[in-house]
Amino acid sequence: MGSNGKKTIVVTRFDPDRDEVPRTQSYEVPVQSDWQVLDALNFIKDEIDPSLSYRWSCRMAVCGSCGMMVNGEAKLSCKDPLSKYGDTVEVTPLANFPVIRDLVVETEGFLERVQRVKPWIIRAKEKAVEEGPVRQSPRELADFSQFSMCINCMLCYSACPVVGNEPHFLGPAAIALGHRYNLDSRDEGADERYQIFREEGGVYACTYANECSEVCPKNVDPAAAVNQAKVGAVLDWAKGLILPRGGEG
Amino acid sequence: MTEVLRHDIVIVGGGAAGLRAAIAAVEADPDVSVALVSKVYPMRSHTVSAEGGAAAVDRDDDSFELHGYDTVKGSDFLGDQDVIQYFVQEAPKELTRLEHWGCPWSRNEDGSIATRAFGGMTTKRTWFAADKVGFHMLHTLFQHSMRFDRIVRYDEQFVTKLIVDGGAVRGVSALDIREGVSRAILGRAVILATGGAGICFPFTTNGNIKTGDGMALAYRAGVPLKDMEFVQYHPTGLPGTGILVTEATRGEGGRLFNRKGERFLENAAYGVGSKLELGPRDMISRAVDQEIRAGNGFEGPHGQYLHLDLTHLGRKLLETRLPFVLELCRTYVGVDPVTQPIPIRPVVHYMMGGIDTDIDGATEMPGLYAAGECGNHSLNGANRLGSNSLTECLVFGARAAIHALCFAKGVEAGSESVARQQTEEEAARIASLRGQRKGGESLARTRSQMQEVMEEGLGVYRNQDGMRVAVEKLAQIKERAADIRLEDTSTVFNTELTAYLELVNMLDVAEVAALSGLARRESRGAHACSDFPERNDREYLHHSLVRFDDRRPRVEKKAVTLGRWEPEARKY
Amino acid sequence: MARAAHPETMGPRRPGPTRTAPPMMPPKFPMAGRYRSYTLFGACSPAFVISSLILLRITWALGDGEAAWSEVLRDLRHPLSLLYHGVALVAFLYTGWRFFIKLFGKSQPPRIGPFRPPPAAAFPPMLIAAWVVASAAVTAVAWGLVL
Repeated sequence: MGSNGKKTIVVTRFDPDRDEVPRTQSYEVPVQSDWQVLDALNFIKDEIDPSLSYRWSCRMAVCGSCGMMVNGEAKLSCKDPLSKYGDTVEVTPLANFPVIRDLVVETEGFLERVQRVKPWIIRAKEKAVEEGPVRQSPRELADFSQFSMCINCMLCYSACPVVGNEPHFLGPAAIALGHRYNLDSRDEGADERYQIFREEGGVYACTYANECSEVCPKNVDPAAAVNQAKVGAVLDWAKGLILPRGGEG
Repeated sequence: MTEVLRHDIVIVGGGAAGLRAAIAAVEADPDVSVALVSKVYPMRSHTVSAEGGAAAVDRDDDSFELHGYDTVKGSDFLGDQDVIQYFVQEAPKELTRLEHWGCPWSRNEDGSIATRAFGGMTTKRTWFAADKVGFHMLHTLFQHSMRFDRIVRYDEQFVTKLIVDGGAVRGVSALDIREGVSRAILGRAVILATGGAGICFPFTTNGNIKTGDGMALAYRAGVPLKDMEFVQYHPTGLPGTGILVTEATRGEGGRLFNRKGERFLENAAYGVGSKLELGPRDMISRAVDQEIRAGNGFEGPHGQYLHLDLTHLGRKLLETRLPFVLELCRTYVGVDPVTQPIPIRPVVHYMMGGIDTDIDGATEMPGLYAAGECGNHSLNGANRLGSNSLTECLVFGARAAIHALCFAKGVEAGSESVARQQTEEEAARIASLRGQRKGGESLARTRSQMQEVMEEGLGVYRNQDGMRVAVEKLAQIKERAADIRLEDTSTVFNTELTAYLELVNMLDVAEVAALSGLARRESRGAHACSDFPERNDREYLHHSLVRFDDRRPRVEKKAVTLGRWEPEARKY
Repeated sequence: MARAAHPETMGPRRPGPTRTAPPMMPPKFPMAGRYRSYTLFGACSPAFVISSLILLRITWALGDGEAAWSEVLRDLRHPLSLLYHGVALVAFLYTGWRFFIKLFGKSQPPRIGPFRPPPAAAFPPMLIAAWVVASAAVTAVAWGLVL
């Protein structure tokens, strides 16, 4: 594709070995008309400044590595055409995350949240392989299928105004994932997850800004999941009042 | 002082094979402690990009025998038939297990598993979850693995060396990418599951992390790599980026056309017979390549391409079964497959070759196992059938874990002082690389040179001269690589350093592939030599091994295990 | 320029091994881009509090006899009250549009016990119809057409 002239890419830099606080650095990049933002970063790394650090791998919007803020919006940089921006493009690390270096953010806190919602099939009695696959109708599959599309890119956490104010909030992707298992006809662990959803920082911390769904590159609609989970969690609570469960309340 | 961590099993790589191995180990033994070491977070592993499906016999009109025969024939008779037989029998169990763990397989109306057609397969036996099968499998495995606290994850840790003592592997030295320190992770057995090496080539479906690290680790420790000349070109990649357009497009009825509007696979010379678009990948890639060479391609900004037409399949089918293909085509080439044909050209997709293992995943080195794309159990031979590799990761990931576990029970843990000493040497070597200033070579340019050499020498078609040139040039590039200038002196998340380590790994793998290719003076499967166009069973019905011996690569042979199917002409 | 987020935002339970730069709020929050709609939505909440208090007073007055009721009606006709109700109407319409038309439909779980709620797309027309009917009924009562 033809060259599309030059753009100035303004990138946030931070190296804890030498920088007290993050700084910005500008690069002049000759861009091609079919480039994504990631292509410009790769050009910078290969041709101008090899010390620029960022994560990327699949460059087809499915591995979820390359989330960053582009002109203030959370984006997968491999799926964000440069052509839609003007002459200057500002690239900063994902908002609402501690920054390890340059555009690399802390991921551990996110994975702790994912693990907290028990994202696996819970059954009173596990099935043996010899019993063959469990039947699940296309409609039952459709009940949760959208919420199973999350690639863990964490853009939703960067867009959510609650995440940055309420550090215990489970957040959109983790709740959507828990909800995905709750809706799965093969799962029997919804009451365990609803209990987690009702804890402090659970689903009721959400104020329905809906920003998570706006920025989601995979149309998971985590806001729908979180707010469906609010309904589910309260129904589960009410059910617990009428039919008390043994053990923990 | 260098930290030494102790586990029973160390698994390197967090994709489908590594995760499956980790789960198999902790399920089989309630006391085992597993280290899962990955240079990325597991859900970023390249399994995530697989689209079309995973093969396993499920339908009434199918049988293990048919799946076995299809795989043997697809391999151009270079697959070991005992391995293939084991594989086809275990395949349905493994995919069922994944179903029980929550994988959202697509369904028939009655709730049973839906299957689709795939290239080289006699009947519909490819299980799928729309066209994001690798993504769903990987996330299902990763999420399921979170149940087990005995799987200890070491994420974003780059393994730079196998710790070998007394001829056996005792663990790994891993560079913590974030901290910049090296640690020894001791294990009684080590399973390598680091995937392929597509980034050796400039135009590939593979993600940037697929740099043959595990292959290079084993190779440098003296374990041979097998059948590395067999590089799978996928017929349908998007021009420019090389993004994969799944074979499932053809499984669902997609057709290939050239510029003249001909469905060129009907040409008998291409050998796919009545299978047409459902022929095996090696043949279709050759057909596409020949059409382009014959001037029957369309001219585009990224070179010549052909058309993959899905427009007759209808919006509803495309949206339910191939939504990711729609998204990728719309995003990356501005084409809507509902109404327009997709531009495609062959693209490097998969390494049939890998670390030489037996059916248990065991390598020559005691305690060292391999699984997934980085290993070579001789399942895929000279050409892998689409949708066999995801299943392979599960079947042989699990098997490697069980055998590694048995091995681990019978040996003492490695010596802490040896591990520490070897890791300290690694740490010193890595420290000297940061900001290395001895030469002026550019990392990015050296990588591009290697990629160009590989594309020229080991394309869809190869020849002796081309491969000889590739071997020579790779040797020169390897020498120059020692003089690469590294700018980044930071200890924290130094991706220039890891890119350099990856390049060194790729150069080893690339050299082995070129040497293997040069030694195979025949055409078999994906290794199509224009100067030796026929298969030669008399001289070359054997695996190629390349061993790093006395600091030099040495090419050897290894027998193929035949069985009920004798080699015959490969006609479809 | 973005503001700092809570210092513990998205940090791991145990702090990581290297020094990090602090998390920043999304740069467009609260008033730029789509956040404006969300912030305005939140800003509408005082109208709900005030109107609830007014409703309370009206209900109270109903039990306090004719004089109290006349006083309420007089107050409601005060220009400031009229102005407030104009503003409140806009706030209610905006909140109603954002919550009920845009977000309510997709917030229904695919199953509630044995029941399946209507599809998300069916909610806006259903809710608008319900609103029209309810408004007509209230208006009819207020004009004295019924009861």
